[in-house]
Amino acid sequence: MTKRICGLSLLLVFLLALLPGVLAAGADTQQRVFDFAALLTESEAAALEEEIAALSGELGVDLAVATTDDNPQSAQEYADDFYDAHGFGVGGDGTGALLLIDMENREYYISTKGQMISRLTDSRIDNILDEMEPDMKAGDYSQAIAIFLDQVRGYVANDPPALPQAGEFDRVFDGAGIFSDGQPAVLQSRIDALCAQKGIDLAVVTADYVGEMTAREYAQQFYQAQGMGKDGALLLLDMDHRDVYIATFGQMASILSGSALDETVAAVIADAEAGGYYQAALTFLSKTEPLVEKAQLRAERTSPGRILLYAGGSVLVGLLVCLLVMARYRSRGKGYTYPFRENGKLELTCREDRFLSERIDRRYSPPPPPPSSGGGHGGGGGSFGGGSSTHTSHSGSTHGGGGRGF
Amino acid sequence: MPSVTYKCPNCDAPLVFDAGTQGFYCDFCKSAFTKEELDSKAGTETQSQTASAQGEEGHAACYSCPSCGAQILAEETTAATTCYYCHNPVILSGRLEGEMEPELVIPFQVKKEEAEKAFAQWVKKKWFVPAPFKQESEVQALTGVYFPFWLADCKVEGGLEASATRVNSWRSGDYIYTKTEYYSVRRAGSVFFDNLVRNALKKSNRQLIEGVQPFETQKTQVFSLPYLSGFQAEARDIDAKEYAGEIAAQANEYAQRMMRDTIDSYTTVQITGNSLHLAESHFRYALFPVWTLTYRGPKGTVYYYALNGQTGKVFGRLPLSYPRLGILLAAVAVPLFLLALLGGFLL
Repeated sequence: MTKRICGLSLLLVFLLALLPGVLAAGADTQQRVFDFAALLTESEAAALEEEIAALSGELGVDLAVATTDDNPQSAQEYADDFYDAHGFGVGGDGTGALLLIDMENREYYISTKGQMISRLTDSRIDNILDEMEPDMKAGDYSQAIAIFLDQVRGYVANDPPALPQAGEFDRVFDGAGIFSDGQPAVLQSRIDALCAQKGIDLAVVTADYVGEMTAREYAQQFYQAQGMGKDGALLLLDMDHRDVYIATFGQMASILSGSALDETVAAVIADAEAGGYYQAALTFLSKTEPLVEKAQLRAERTSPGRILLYAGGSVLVGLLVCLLVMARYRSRGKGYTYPFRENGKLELTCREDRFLSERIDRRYSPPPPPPSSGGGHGGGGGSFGGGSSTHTSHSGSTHGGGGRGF
Repeated sequence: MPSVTYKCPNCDAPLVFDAGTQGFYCDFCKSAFTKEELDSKAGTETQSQTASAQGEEGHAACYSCPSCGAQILAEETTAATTCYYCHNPVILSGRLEGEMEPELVIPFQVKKEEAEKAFAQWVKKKWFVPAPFKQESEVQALTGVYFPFWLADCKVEGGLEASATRVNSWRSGDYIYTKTEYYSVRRAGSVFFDNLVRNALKKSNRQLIEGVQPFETQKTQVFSLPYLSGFQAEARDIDAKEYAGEIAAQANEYAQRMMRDTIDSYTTVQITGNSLHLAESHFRYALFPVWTLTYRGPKGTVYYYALNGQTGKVFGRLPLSYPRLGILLAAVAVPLFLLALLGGFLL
């Protein structure tokens, strides 16, 4: 009996010894930096913790950073499981993001959950990974993590998403930064030319975050915010949802509608899917121009003045036909002329042709030189694929995210 | 006014001239006679003389129908007609006697049925004629009328004088040679024109008369009263003298042209003298056949249709139904207008 009591008490002590650790592990909801791969120094880790804590408070989302060098799974699986296991995230949907640096697979991965899934779209994640890449490759992990945090702040802090301000071009807004140098200028000049000729306002907008708004709402708000003309159209390339939306206002609403609109949208989508966003914008402009032209021609052709002309012309032709008929109804008196040559009888008694004189003129006229040889004498919209891809983790919750090797 | 009706030797019914057989036909007993037979048979005419106080030749006169005795007022120039009451043909011979007797006549060659058919065909395809015009009754109103004409035979005598040149041109080496031959030309002789036609009735519709011409003037017959039986006829009221100047001018011009035609083979011809003049002219009075139909339109305008009684040539002026024309106007103008609108919209 004493032996049993001794055994039990030993177990109890053992458990009690572990307890703080367990409790510490479970109760330590503040820790957000898990440097299992020992990539950071202690001071770096501590500074990082503070930074994350501040940032999370500022943005209202949960952020965490983890590194590992012992990962039998994929980076994605590990990241998702880690996130879920630690119960990260704020709000009922566990909004937050985790950066995982997986030294085993040599991958760095960003996992998102809750609202961060839509906030950090795939393209945004790609951008972040791009920004981090040089430092990751160089091994400067703390710098890479700093960049991560910075980027996240940049994206998340926009709430609601600020409409781009008028920059160098007043009709081309490359919010998503998908046009390369010189392209906006070309688009701008084309738009200016079209506006001058046709009197309609056009704009090309790209955005990488439209927040809670639909592409339609965003486009309309944008159009009004920029104070664009009464009649106009706006092409929005929503890189967030990877949507194309063409918003039309005023007369453009009837010009660019129905099958014409569908066709234009389809063409723009085709270009966007192929990755040619600039081409897509050009397509938008080149499809719109002839439509406007036709519509204006049609308006001209059916203006009241023209209609009067048509009426007058048709009546005239009708009258002509009637006159023709009336003429037919009166036989043309072909004015009988006496055929004197047939009926007349000529009896000549005298027929004299007397030769009087003759004269010959001579004129010098050399024949022309032979000609030298050879010489000689002329808004509907559609999606182009992507968005924020999501997957279900082992624990059953939904995560978004993206990663790459380094 | 003496008036005559020709009677059938067999049954005493009136005889009419039959264009089909060019003889005479009795509708009653269906006998037919040639002209010679008729001439030989005496007593085929029924004459009646009415001495009328006012009646004088050439003016509106009263005559009595030889068949029924009815007193009928005839127009100034009417020479043959049908009795209003008994429908027998009446020839006012008094108007065609003496110097008023025609020398020539072209008897009707086209029968009434043929004329009616021709008219019906002509009208059939015309959609814009008012309906009443096309009715049977109108067609029945086709009347065969002999119209008076003057036939003039002329002889023009005289000649032309002209200067003419003949030019030739050729190249020899470095030179172009032009030879000009000068000629003095003279033509003289006579030119005969027969059967120049002139209308001899003042009141006749000028257009109508000229429209149905020409008549084949060589096929005239010697005039004889019976030819008029069954038809209307008008005597002349225009004297030949009135045409003298016109005929002379016309004949002279034709003669000059014919003579000028004989001066050929020259490069240039210039007439320097013209001594052509009308030497002789002889007018003959003739009656020519025309099937006529007149229609008085609602506003009083007269429409006419004439068919040459010898050749069948048609001439006429049809009444136009303006309402129907209006429909045509709309039928053309409205689709055109709609088409233009549609074009504006769709193109």
